[in-house]
Amino acid sequence: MRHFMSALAVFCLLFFSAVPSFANEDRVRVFDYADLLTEEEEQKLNELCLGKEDALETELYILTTDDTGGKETVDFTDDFGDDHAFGYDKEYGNYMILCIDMQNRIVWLSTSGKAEMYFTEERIDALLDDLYADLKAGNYYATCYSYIQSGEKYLSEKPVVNEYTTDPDRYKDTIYKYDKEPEPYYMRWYFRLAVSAAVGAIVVAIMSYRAKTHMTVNGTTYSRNGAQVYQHSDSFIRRTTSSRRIESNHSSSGGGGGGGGHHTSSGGHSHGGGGRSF
Amino acid sequence: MVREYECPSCGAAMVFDSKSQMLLCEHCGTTRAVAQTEVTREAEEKDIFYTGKEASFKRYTCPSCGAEILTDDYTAATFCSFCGNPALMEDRLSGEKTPARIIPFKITKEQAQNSYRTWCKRGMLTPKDFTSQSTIEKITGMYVPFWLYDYSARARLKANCTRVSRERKGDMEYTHTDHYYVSRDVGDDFMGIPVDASEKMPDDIMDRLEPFAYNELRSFDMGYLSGFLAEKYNFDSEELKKRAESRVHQYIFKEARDTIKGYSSTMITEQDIRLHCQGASYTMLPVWLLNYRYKGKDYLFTLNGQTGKIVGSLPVSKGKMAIWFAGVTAAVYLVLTIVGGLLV
Repeated sequence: MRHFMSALAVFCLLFFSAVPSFANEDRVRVFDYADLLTEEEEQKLNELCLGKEDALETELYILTTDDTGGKETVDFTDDFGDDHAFGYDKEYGNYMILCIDMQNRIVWLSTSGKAEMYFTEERIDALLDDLYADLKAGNYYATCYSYIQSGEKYLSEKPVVNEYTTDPDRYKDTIYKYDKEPEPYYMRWYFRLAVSAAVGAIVVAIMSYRAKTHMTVNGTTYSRNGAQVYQHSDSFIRRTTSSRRIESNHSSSGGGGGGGGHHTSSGGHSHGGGGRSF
Repeated sequence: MVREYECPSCGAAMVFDSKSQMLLCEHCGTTRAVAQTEVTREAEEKDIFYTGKEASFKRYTCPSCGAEILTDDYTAATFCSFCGNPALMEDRLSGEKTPARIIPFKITKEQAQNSYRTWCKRGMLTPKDFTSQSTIEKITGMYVPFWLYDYSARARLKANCTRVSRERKGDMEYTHTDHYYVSRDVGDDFMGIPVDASEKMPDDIMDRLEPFAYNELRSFDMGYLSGFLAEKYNFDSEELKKRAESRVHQYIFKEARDTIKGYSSTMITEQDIRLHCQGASYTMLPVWLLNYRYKGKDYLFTLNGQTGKIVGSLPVSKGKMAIWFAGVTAAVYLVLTIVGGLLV
């Protein structure tokens, strides 16, 4: 019996130590499924993330994986955020996730809420630039540390928006999204109503047009032999030429592809983000 | 002088029959070719004019019953309001006023009434309480006086045209604009541009009744008018020339303009259009007419008496318009919502 009790105690000890020691689930910030970090590193990073949250009004998450379940990294990351309904201010609110996908060897930054607004394409690139060398070298702790540093840096300072940093229209849109979750434009009720009303007006216009008869004769009705061309000349005078350079859209990211835009995840929530392979 | 065609068999008045294209005695069924029928009854007009405020009236005597027929100055064929027999005002159809040609009625009264009925049902915006049947008996066939103008026309156009082509070399795109100087000299003859010469007939409606098939033009004979209304022209061919010319001008310009093809842009810099009138012939063309009132508004239904082409305006119900608009809008909105919902 004593043996049994001690066995149970050992079992319980083992069982509870298997879950992270910061057992409160709301306070988990590091999800190291690919086991890239040591227990100690995980704890340190977790504390770091939690420590910055109140000042930044944004939750910082770190996610590693070696199996995305067939999803692309971007969807995997977005869905992870959606499934947990992350957010500092509210569910699906202010948060960002750095995902290290060892299966596809892609690093992805997914942003939402305030982070989506603050992380312009340029800033995403800068953040990725900062951690890229460590990531490539396999220093995952340093990578995550750099991510938290950059996150803090950019979330404390509003982005300068002009035509050189990012597309201002999209930025405007992002601010709108930040306030509330919108439907895509073709699903907004007033857009549908406008289209429907236009169709209705056209149908009624055709009907009232058809209620009247219109003149159906033209010159050919009364022409005896058709038009006779007595003389015609087309003389070339001169040629003028103008030229322009064709602008090609080069991707703005320096790494192995990626670059981040705003999009809506399968869960219907708006995300920003960007990433590259390593 | 009032003329009436008398049936050689029974002595009743004969009328022109659209179906057989002959004069028909509705009483005994006798038919006669229009040109052959010579037997007529005539009665002298009384030279009394009643001059009213706006129009002056003339009094004739009905050759059948002796009653008085009052007409305005331009009536050429009508009916005796007393005995209903057709009466033709010969003095308004002879001498200078003799029409040169005529297209006889081909559409019968019954056919005209039938096409009116189907036309009434066609309008999807026609008010529900619009009853077409009440007035349908009043449909009348009338020979409307027209001038048919022949014109030879010539248009000389000068234009600056451009043709734009694009070329891509590496990173550069070149836009070449070739400038051309274009000139055209185009001629055409337009035969039988019809212009209605009756003041009572709205010009726009008469224009829309076109085209008439000119291969069925006949030399004028008064017999064709028997049993129909007819008008004498109010305006002579000189007075109406302008209306014909504006049409011919438009036609020849378009023909000349259409020969300038294959350019990106065309700017006409000079146009010299000359029209030469080759003559005008006074022609009677057949039209079925029906005036009707709906909610205090007058509507005119007209039908080409030769081809059956309908010109008219149906009353449009604002309520029905609103219902259609709301219905279509709601339906499309619903479809968009469902389809959109599936896509998202």
